[in-house]
Amino acid sequence: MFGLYPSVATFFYSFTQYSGVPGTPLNVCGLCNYAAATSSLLSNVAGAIWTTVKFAVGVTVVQTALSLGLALIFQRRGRSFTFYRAIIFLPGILSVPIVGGMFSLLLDPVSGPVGELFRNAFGIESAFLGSGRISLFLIMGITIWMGCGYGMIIFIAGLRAIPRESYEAASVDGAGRFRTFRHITWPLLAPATTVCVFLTSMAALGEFALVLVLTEGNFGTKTLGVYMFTSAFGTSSQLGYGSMIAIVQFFLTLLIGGGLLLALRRREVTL
Amino acid sequence: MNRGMDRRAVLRGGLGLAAAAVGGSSLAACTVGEQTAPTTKAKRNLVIVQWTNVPAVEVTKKINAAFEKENPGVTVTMRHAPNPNNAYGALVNSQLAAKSVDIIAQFPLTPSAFPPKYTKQKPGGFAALVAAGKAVDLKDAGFMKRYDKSQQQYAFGYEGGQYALMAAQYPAYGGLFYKKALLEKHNVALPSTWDELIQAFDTLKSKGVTPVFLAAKDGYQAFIWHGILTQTLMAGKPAESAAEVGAARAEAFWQGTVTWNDPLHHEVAAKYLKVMQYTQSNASGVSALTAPGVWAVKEDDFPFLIDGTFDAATIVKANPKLDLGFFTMPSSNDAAVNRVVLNPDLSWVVPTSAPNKDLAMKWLEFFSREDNYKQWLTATGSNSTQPGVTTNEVPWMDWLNEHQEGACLNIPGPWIPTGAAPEAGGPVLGDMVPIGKTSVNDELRQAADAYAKARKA
Repeated sequence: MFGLYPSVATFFYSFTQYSGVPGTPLNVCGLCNYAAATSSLLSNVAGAIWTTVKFAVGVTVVQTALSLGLALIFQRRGRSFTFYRAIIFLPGILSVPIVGGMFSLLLDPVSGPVGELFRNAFGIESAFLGSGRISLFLIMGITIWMGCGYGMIIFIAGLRAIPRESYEAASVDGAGRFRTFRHITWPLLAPATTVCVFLTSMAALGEFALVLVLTEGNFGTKTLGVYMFTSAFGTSSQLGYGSMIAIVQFFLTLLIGGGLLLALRRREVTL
Repeated sequence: MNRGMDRRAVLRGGLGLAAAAVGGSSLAACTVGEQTAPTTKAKRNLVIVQWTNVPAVEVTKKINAAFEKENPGVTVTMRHAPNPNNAYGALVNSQLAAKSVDIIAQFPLTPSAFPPKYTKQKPGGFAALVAAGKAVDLKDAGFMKRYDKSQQQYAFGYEGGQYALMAAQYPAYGGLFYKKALLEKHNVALPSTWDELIQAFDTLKSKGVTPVFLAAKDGYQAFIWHGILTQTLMAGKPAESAAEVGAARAEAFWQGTVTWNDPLHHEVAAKYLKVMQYTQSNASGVSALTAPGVWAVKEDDFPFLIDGTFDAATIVKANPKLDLGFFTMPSSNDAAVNRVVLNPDLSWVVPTSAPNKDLAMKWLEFFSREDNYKQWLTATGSNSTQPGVTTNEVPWMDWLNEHQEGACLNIPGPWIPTGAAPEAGGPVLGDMVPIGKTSVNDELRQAADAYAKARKA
């Protein structure tokens, strides 16, 4: 009930010009929002989809690789490793407005320490989050910083599930570290990889909060989630149009997520 | 090894962590402020919601306390949430859905929020509430006589009705704070014409000073654009005609007789570009949140700050010793054109679902009394919307008080349908040089094309 109602309501609202303000009429308009999105306003939606895909691919690939690397380094038991794991996991439990506010201050080109460092140490001037060239990459970096702790935990769980006998057998056969990783660890980590890639990509495809806090979707960072949010909420927004974008986002996520899951499952069987 | 089982086990763990994190962040995001006067004998409770603006919230609390004192048995509950990320919008919607709010603070809709009849579109956002007849018409309320009718109509008028009391208006567009001592040090007088402005900027630049500080990350360069545009559009017209000028312009856009690629917009763009040459490098990375404080403490640089008077309290708090001034940027060599451009702001709305409508009207009457309203204006830095009330005692308002006559409201952009490309509402200044890479000619052409496409959609 709690899960289904909002989904059905969003689908229904996508066929209306509903403002979203309680007490106002629904103004059912059929396919008006979809017609607008697929006709002359297509470039708007297409641009947001492209930004979303770039963001999701970048975050998923780098975060998964980094999470795996961190898991391999910090999987060992012991107090110091527990401490390091906690430090790496910490950003993930901070709220998005806190992280956004903190990085906005750090990356302020006039008063922020990062700007000062780049200016004095490298002679580089940059607007950072206000630069169309790097703002999307910076947000990707912050997202990865927040999320790689989760990925690391998933991979550590996967690593600890690998039977020690497999490593012992590889050692007896004279396999070095790289060969052991390639032929034992990596194949047996396939279930953890599937979970990590799937969860990361789903989160990245739906990302909007951090982008909203850091750039409000400006400077080439307008993802589909941000486009949906700004269309659905605000002074003169239309929840109906925003719902239509949410439906587009849902199908995009379904398509990419479903495809990924199929491919990753096949990979598990092959390995 | 059972990989399916493993995956489910790992997935369960991962989902558990994710749910905990989402829950935590959602709870954090939903936190709102609330202040209830302690009383045990209360029979009626007036509920006011307002977005978080510390000086405004604090002074409203004081007015609430005085209201409670005058009306024994009444308590006032005030709820507030920040505007960013629509936290305030969510608070308003939840209160409206629960039919538990009596007075709502809203940003003015201005005529551009209502799609003109010829567009056959439905209004979005709060305008839909007004269009649906769910806001109380304040037109005949006695306290409304204290306010300027044309300004009130402009902010929240709809089909002859008056659906809010606009309490605040800020000179933001074209607005510049300045450091009096720094200008004196470099022998620069406050400019009153366009040529004098450029001369002042050049003089300061030649002395190694960066003339203008700008928070372009949050789009404050639009204050320059809109200031020049409104002064140009309102040249030679009476101040109270802003709504008609805006409506005629919106219709002309819709008919295609005015476009963003017209010579007038090129003229505005040229002046905008000229001013932008004097702003600090990497302005697009500077946030509006930090800009007033950073600017205030750098006493030896950045003589001017592009900002609205709503940030005056922040500037004064950051550097109480700063000899602060405020004026509106002149965009013409004709002094009559260089009028103060006011931006309508906080307005009080009484929804028809309010459980205490009579009490809400009583509070608005109490708020409108000269002493209460003056106290509110002084704390918020707003310009008065009551012709009879001034705030002469605020030092940085000296220039404003001398130049109030002829001040006009900002001309809103043409109405555009939801989902239209951002360019349809005018050139995207973040994409246009010097912040972005698109040339002025290309940006204005793209804006004209985007509006034409949006109109057809």
